[in-house]
Amino acid sequence: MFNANLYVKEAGYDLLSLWRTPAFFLPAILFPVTFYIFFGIVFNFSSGSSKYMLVSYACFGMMGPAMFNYATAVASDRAHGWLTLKRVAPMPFNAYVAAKYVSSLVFALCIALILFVTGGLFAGVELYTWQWLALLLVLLIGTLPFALIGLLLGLCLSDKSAPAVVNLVYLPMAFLSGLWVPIQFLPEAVQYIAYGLPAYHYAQLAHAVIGTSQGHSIWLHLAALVGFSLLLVLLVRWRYQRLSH
Amino acid sequence: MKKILLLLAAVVAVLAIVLNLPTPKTADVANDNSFVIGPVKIFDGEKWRAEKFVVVHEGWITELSMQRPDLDLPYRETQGQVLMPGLIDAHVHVWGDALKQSLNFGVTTVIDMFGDPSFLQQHKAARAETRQAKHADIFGAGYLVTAPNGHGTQYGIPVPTLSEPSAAPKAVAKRLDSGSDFIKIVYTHAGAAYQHAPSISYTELEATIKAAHQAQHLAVVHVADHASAMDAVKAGADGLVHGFFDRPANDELVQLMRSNGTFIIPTMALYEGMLRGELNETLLTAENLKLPASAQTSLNQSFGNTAFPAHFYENLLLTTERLYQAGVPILAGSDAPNPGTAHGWSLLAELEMLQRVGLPLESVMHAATAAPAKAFALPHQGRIAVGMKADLLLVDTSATTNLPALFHPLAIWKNGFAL
Repeated sequence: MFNANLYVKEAGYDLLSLWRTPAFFLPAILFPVTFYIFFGIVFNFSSGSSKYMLVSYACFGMMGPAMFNYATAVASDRAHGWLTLKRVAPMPFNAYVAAKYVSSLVFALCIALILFVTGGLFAGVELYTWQWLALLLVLLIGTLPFALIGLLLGLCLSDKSAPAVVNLVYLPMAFLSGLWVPIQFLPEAVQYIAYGLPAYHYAQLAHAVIGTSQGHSIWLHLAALVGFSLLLVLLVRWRYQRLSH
Repeated sequence: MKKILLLLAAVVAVLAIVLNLPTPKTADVANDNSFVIGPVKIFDGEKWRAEKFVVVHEGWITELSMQRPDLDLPYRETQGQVLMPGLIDAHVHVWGDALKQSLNFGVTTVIDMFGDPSFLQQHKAARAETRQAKHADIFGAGYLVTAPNGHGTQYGIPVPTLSEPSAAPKAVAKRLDSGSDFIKIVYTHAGAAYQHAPSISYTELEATIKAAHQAQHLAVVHVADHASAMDAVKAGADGLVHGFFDRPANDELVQLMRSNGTFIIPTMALYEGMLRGELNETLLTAENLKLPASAQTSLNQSFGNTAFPAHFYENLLLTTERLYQAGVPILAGSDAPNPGTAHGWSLLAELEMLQRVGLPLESVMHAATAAPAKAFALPHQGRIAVGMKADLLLVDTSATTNLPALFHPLAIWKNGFAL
């Protein structure tokens, strides 16, 4: 039986709990913004134009919290036995997962808006309205595979190790996907690694909106992201089943 | 109910933010790229013209006339100021926002002497179009031809290198395939006295130039000393993309360049930065100009504090002077954004250097307009003539006698659109 009300309530409470821990959400939101201002605007030594840099850093800024929010929250809920309580409670467990995703979307939305406004005000980025909107949608929807990576890590790791491991996945993946330095300036071998990383396909889709992608078909990137997501869903299910035993 | 209202308010807030983000200004009727302008004093890239009016139709120059033509086009009335072609910087390395920065100084076309081929490819189509653009047109060499670990390989971009003469035709073909408009070669004479990166051999230089010519493309050579310049000219180079200062050009070199029709891009403003480092500050103070932060960054960098003998600066000027006197084509190029230079600005600084050498004003203006257009066979750039793009500068009447007028353009048109 599907009870929408439960989902809405769980999502609302998850947001509320986030709202009550500003020590978590403020740094999480400010980190990508600071990073963008430092390396995308003030010390922009790489070769991107202002809108190129905004798109790259927006991808960087949005995929991170999606992973962090899931990984740290789920790992700590597990550690504190909260997850066990959730599972024995009559509420569908999917509501718990969905609520976390809603929270990370709200996160991502805030980050995107702050980055857009920062880019527009201080870096002179000018895009057509449809581009701003399309970019926002692509960036938001595209966080799904990263949220799933976070969920998987959260289900696998202890609450202490989760943030460290997420960083170890997040930062190298961002670099190898060309989010800090445009990918054409990295050695050719990196290009082949990038094909295997969801962040690369995510970034290329976002770049396609402003016409600065590397020119591969957007369907290819879309297929890659959907493929990653499906694979991750399977892995998450498998891991979840194992937790049950 | 309260929750739904809250949600609605959030959606409205998000939309309000997104819809208010900056968008590119669309062409308004007042800034159409079809118009008649005049009366103006026209410098067409070569000489002063008698015509007083220019007709621009959809970004193309379609007519020069003595009287204001009776056409149903918007009329931009002027008071006899100087209209000249947009400037061409014949030696740059562009990426990021460089094309935009250049345009802000009236540089409407740049010739890239080594850069990412995909950047060049992305901007190629715009050269033959007159859509509204906020960036200069680019022609370029793409990857340069250099020795393994040679000059050009130190910037972190992987560059294919040349290590035997027989590989030259393939190296040239590969570059032309990736979109190079001409071939740029880095060469240093085997016995050069100064410290330098490994260089291709003279035979490799000759083979590369020959391969470029067989493929009907220009071959230009980076040199930094007299002996290397001599080799390059002997090997048949179409142009030298730098001057040199170890000694002034001797008669043999001057005569050879004259008879071969080899052009030179002396890049004296760049060298001035190494040898003296006074030009930028003097000029900026004199012209009361403030550069944007982006330009300031590369301008403030330096090559390091190698001390050069004082007469090197004289050698530098003397070389350009002798070549100019002999009728060798002189092209203005900045080599921005190397230390001590900035896109756009440094071309103006180079024009000042050309004036210091003693070139008359018309020749200085020619060096940054029709001369590079002719040397690189640019189809629609660098001249005011029928069939050219309306890349134009309107400068003060004093430009007929004074260079500084160019430092403060009254209007810049790119593809017929006012900036």
